[in-house]
Amino acid sequence: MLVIGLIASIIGIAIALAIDWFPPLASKQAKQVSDLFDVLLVASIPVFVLVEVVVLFCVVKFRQRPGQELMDGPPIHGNTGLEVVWTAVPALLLVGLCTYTYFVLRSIEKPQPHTMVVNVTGQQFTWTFEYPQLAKGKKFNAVQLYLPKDRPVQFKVRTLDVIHDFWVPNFSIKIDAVPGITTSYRITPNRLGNYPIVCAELCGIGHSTMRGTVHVVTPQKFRAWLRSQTAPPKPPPGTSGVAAQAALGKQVFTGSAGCGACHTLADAGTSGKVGPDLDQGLKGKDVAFIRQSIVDPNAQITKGFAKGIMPQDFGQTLSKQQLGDLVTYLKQATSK
Amino acid sequence: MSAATVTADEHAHAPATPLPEAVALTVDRPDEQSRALAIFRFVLLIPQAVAVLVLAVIWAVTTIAGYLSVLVTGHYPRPLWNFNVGILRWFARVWAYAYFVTDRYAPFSGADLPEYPVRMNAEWPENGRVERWRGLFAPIVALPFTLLAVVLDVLCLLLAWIPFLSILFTRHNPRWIFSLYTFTLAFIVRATAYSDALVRRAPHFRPNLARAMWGLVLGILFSAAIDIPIRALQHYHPVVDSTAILLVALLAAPLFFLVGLGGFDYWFYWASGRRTRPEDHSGHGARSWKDYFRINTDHKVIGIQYTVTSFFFLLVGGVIAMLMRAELAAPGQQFVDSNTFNGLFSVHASILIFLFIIPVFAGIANYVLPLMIGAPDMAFPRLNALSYWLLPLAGVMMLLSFLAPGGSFATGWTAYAPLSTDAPIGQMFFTIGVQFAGASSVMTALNFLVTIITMRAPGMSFWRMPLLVWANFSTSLLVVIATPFIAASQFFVLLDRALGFNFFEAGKGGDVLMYQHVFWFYSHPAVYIMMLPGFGIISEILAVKSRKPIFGYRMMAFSLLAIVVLGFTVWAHHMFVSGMQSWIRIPMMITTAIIAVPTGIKVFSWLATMWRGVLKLDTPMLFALGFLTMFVIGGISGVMLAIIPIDIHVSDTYFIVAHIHYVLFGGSLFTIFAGVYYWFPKMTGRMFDERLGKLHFWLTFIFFNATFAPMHIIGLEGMPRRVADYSEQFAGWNLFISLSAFVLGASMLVFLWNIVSSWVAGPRAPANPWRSLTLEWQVSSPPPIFNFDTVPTVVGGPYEYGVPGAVHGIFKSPAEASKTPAKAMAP
Repeated sequence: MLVIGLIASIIGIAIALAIDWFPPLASKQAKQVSDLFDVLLVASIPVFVLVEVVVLFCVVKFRQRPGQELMDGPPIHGNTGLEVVWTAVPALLLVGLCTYTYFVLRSIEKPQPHTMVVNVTGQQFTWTFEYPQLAKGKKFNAVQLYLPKDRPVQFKVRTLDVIHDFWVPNFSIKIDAVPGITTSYRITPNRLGNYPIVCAELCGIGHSTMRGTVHVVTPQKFRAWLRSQTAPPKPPPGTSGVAAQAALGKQVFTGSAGCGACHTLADAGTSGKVGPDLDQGLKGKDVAFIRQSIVDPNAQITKGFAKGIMPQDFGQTLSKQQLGDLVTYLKQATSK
Repeated sequence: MSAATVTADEHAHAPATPLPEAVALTVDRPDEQSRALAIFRFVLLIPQAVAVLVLAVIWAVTTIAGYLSVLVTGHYPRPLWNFNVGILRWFARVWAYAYFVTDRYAPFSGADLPEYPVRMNAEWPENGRVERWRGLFAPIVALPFTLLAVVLDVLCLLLAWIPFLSILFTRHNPRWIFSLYTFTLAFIVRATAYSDALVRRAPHFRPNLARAMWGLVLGILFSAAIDIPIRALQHYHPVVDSTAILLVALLAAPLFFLVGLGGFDYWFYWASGRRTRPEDHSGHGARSWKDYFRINTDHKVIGIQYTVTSFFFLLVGGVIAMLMRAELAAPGQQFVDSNTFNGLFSVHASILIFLFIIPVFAGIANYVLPLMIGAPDMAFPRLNALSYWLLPLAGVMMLLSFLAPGGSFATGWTAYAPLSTDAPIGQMFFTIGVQFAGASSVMTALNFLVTIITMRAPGMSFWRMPLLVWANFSTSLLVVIATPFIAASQFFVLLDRALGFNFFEAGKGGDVLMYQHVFWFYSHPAVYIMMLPGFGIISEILAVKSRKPIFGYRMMAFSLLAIVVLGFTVWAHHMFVSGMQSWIRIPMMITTAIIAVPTGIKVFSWLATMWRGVLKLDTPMLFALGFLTMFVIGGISGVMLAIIPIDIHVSDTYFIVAHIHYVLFGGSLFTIFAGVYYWFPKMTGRMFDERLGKLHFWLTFIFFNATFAPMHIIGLEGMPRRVADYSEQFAGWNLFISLSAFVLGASMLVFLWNIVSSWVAGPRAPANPWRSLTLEWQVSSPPPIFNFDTVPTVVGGPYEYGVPGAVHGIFKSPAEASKTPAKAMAP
């Protein structure tokens, strides 16, 4: 029985360690959490194997055989030594795990030098980001989250309405956004790529669609992105007038406003399914309708979609210039 | 035995047979009725109509004179009384004539005419003495009856075409119409006499479901009656607001229902100084299915009421789960929109937690526990009955929320503020429903505690109690201490929402996180409330099916108590990512980890119980073994969740959904199935089908794991919970999970078929099919009405298997019994 148990544990542990339980690890902290999880697996699997081996052994060896219908087992009431062992060993194991965890937690949450603060604001049903220390005081609200690789970040998380939770699975840390307080956590992204942002606290009908993307880029790309966010928008060279406006509007659509996360638009190459397909929904509509559907989305709802999911404050988060350019772009992109 | 406990105090107790109606009405049924009269009745009625109108005015004056007389002198003057009764008699005869009850023209007289087919007589109050307060309040006190009289009258009016056509074509009034109309007339006359202070006894209206439903209607009217004037006075517009009335009705109507059902009768009589009806337990036992729909104080009847009602809600919660899995089978929206889906998972959890797991354990214990300790019933049988009836009210309320404007409550069973304080009215069905379910739970727990402490059979020390009794004792401690906290959290939400309080308004001095602290302070002990009775059930089954004493009995009892105490110290492990002060996390991690120690002691002790036993691997045992496996997995994922960084990663993901279902389904539900199969012979007197039982087990075991094991994986990978839709990458696993879930749901049908068909027509069960030593198996299956014909004496421990001739309890008097010393128990 011991041998079987040992072999089963080893096989179990080997398989468990081989499987990649976590999504691609994109932060220093995620690696530490993943390692901690592996430790837990190594500790847990023998426990489970122990219990199961005993159960199966009992079922096989001690089952009632024909003729034993009236037989009883021996009147064993207990064994002090055994009970001490199975009280003390788990207790010690748990003390060990908790101690190890304490050190891992301290390491994960340790403040680092050169930390960049990013303000995260959750609202029903989108995230907006702000970089208070950067861009020389020029404020801008981003709907996309860009982070430079290997730079420690502290997210300061707030909410405008109900409780949300700011989570990037690939970073592995999360924290609730709570009305009335500012919560925070520290992360150091260390892998280039685009990762989903997921809201992890039920916040209403749009909870399952409240997603975003974080782009971890090289420091150079990050600086370039910052500049593009704070510099006045430049139309592509060689265009002017309406075409220039439309080009700028396309930048708003695919960039700062993040419309593609929820809407499909062939011209912009986006395929979001949360909201109506704009190729059909805006076809043939006039400028006034397009403008209203951005700043007052609940006024008219496309059949098959629900009220209250599209953020209602694009009128404030977009500048007048941006809004105008966006409308121009959409009119042009959907009238082909 | 128990019948002898009726007190001899004649003044305190009412006679066994109730007094007759204060107003007697007899109606002779006519053989044939005239066609011509049927048509011309209304013309002929005109003179009487005029007379009635004139009399009504006179009657108003004389009735008021009667009230005044009663108020001032405490007496109703005989001549005035005779006159008013006479007018009532006149009206009764006109009504009978008008409504086709008789063809004899109503006489222009109020005198008692014995030859007229309608005869009415009222009981003159003794010496004409009528309580003074009736002079002012008789009409108000009579409202429940006069309102019902109006309803019945309107019903008779609407149905009047039936006797009309029937007499026209067949010259006969159908018997059922005649009975309905005479019943209505009698009720109108009695209600009126009572309202007019002519008699001092209300019309008979036996407490039953019909009276309870009428109570419900009165409750709604009452809610409107207090809501509308208050809104008018406070200048809230619109003054008549159905949502506001609904909110008050959610609180008031269930209470009126219970009053109508008779749940409070004894206390009302006692508190008002009137004669109470003694609880001689003559209502014990159920002779027909109808007895299960009334207030019954027999713990065995209540146990079955609880268990059957709980399983009904299991089915409802399970069907909701099937709908959820149908929606989640593929990404995108297929069957239900987001709001409905959010409502589905909220109701799913609330129903299964508050209306299935917690009450079904209460039900099994209600049935088994008094038998197990040698008691004739619970300490408080009337409270027991009341605590049962609170439950269907809570369940119906939660389910009705789907019909509320704005949809059902959709904030999860956790109902976090501020989402819940801003929600539509459907939320209140949860907020208030939970109060009723919680009240039911607390009453039952109180009952168990007193029963266990005071009503054990002679010789049953605490250390000779079976572990099921220990488990329910521990659970009851948890319930009475913790449940008020969820009541508090929901009251805060109710006050914030209904009266504009600011408990959770961040800008106005409120604290959003306080909701979570108060809520989880109950809801963590709640998970132990949902597990500890199951531990007790498993201990019973493993000992009997392994034919061995429970290993380490004392530590098993102590570990239950340790879990109770420690259970109150771990609540914030549900809040590691909530934004609370970060220092709290470490102590909570430590306490959460420590709880694994007593739980581990139990698991290892169970294993040691089976070791070297003689294992009978039938259905209850299979479920017990399945429980051991599933609960260990759930416990392991639980320890992982104690570890803060892991918890931070998997909080609010499907990893949590996997953990909770391993401990609640693989844990609690498996123990419930084990217990139901185990005590089925005792409760129903029949044996279930063993092959179907095994089939049920294997289907459940396999497809349970297929459904919930992959959820660990997708949770770790990043799929959040409480989502109607998810990212494409999780589509494969979700489809697999949904298909497995459908088969799991179908496997319940095997269980249902087995239980129902066996209950109706299964082979008769012997008293002790499992050869157990505990007391409940020493009486017949099902037990005698008062449980024990002789009070048992306990002479040894409950698990003395392997000792030839050992007994736990005997049925001799203590003098005759020679004690078998309990074997030395370690440590």
